[in-house]
Amino acid sequence: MSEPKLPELASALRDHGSDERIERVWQRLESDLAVAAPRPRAALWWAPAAMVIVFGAGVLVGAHWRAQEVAGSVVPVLAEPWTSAEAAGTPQAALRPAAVAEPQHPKRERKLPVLDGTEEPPVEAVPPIVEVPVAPALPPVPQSVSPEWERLANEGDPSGAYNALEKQGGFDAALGRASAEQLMTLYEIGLAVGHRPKAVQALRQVVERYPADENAADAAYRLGSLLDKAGDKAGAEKAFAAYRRLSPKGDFVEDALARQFDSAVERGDVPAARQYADQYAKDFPKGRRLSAIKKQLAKLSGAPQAAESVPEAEDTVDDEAEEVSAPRKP
Amino acid sequence: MPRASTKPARLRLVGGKSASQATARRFGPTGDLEDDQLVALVRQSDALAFEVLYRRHASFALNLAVRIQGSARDVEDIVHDAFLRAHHRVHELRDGASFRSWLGAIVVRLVRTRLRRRRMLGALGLAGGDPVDLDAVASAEAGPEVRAQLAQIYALVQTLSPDDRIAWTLRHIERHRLEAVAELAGCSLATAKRRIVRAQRFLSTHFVAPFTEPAP
Repeated sequence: MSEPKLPELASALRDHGSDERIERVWQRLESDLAVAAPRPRAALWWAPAAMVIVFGAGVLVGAHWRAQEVAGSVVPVLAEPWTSAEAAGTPQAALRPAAVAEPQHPKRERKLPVLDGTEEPPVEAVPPIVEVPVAPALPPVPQSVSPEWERLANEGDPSGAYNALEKQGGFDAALGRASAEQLMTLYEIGLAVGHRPKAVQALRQVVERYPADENAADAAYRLGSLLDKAGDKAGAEKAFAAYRRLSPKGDFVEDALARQFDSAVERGDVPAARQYADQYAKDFPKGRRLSAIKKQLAKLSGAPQAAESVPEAEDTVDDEAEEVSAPRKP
Repeated sequence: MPRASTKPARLRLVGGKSASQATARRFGPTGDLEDDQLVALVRQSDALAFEVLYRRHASFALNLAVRIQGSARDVEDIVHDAFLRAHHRVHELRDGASFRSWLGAIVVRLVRTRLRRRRMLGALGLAGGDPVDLDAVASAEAGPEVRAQLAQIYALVQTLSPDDRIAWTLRHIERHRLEAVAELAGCSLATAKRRIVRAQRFLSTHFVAPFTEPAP
């Protein structure tokens, strides 16, 4: 494959750093900076003192703990190894049970006697042998090479990717060992070939297994939309809640909350709907859905007069937010 | 290919202009200071130092945002937000000399958020594709053939995922070194390479070279 022959970009690209534009942005920036001056860093003079105090407290607690252990006649068994054979014929044998009193907080290694192979080990020291079913080993996944299905998906062939998945152990097997990014690809594949439940599975995995990943919030929102379309209102509500939790300042927070309200209404859960409506009114006092939500809530509460009297909210949000908040019933 | 750099500065700007002389004249001795010295002054709430930093790097930030987005849409908002964020978080910058790349990373993150948002809206059927404004990208002096090529490239790049798009644009449009791409994109070098290769493979497959007369 040959690289595209790009033109000489240095001369072909436009320069946007005009003096007017730079000055214009600076004017805005300057006024904002005047409002929000940077906070000076808090003085850290107390940090060394705090460290000394914490360290000292640790030493005291440790000394106290040690003193308690000594008072409890804890004998370091491992420091003086003995066997059952020795124990049977020495005078220490008579004393040992009293000397080896069980400490209040025994350390794990003190329960392990040193064995020479001739005696029966104490029963309690040996964990019971349990037959554990061994899962069939998964085929090794090369870390540096993308799987075939991923390559095909990246090349825009979701059907081919799905077929490759089937040949390589199936969609579900891939789900179990996929990274967050791969799960998003699996979601796209599932959606493209019409297996919505599989797409849902992939999104769930992202949210549950990789909540810290940058894809998690996106996955939660998409999951909510898919479940909503599938009629799983409770699931959608949870997914939108997950989105709000994962991305509290995200672009779709307002929309997610409104859709939680919609789901609660669909489920007929009036208390939950009221809760979401209150939250929406609090968080988005100028939200585009506010009047509709209030009307719907009033209707649910059986107060049509109140619904009639709710004034229409003004559309004060920008174009993109309007698109986001647009009703999207399936 | 990346350009050779004679300075240890991590990033280079193609098509931008240096404002260092202008700022030096306007701001006196402060205008002559290096970035790390200016950053140190900003940490002490020196407004003049921040203005010098702004005027020194605003052009870079504006061009970076436009070229990744493929349009000048909201570009002033992006740069405004980026510098505001930089100002608030200047204490988090460990190496003042890398202010430029640090600022660039902020710009990239802001643009990526917008790209993802547009992409998600598109996926949900709530918005069209991210429009590419050729006049914003191409200079007025660019010939029709070059403009056509740029238009085709941006139309293809538009279909890539935001991460691939950003990585490829930083590498092949902005001509940054791979390390700088990784730094700007906020990912590992391996990830940056992977994204660039993936995007390059797609573009190589779909880019149609301009018609040329066959040799007699």
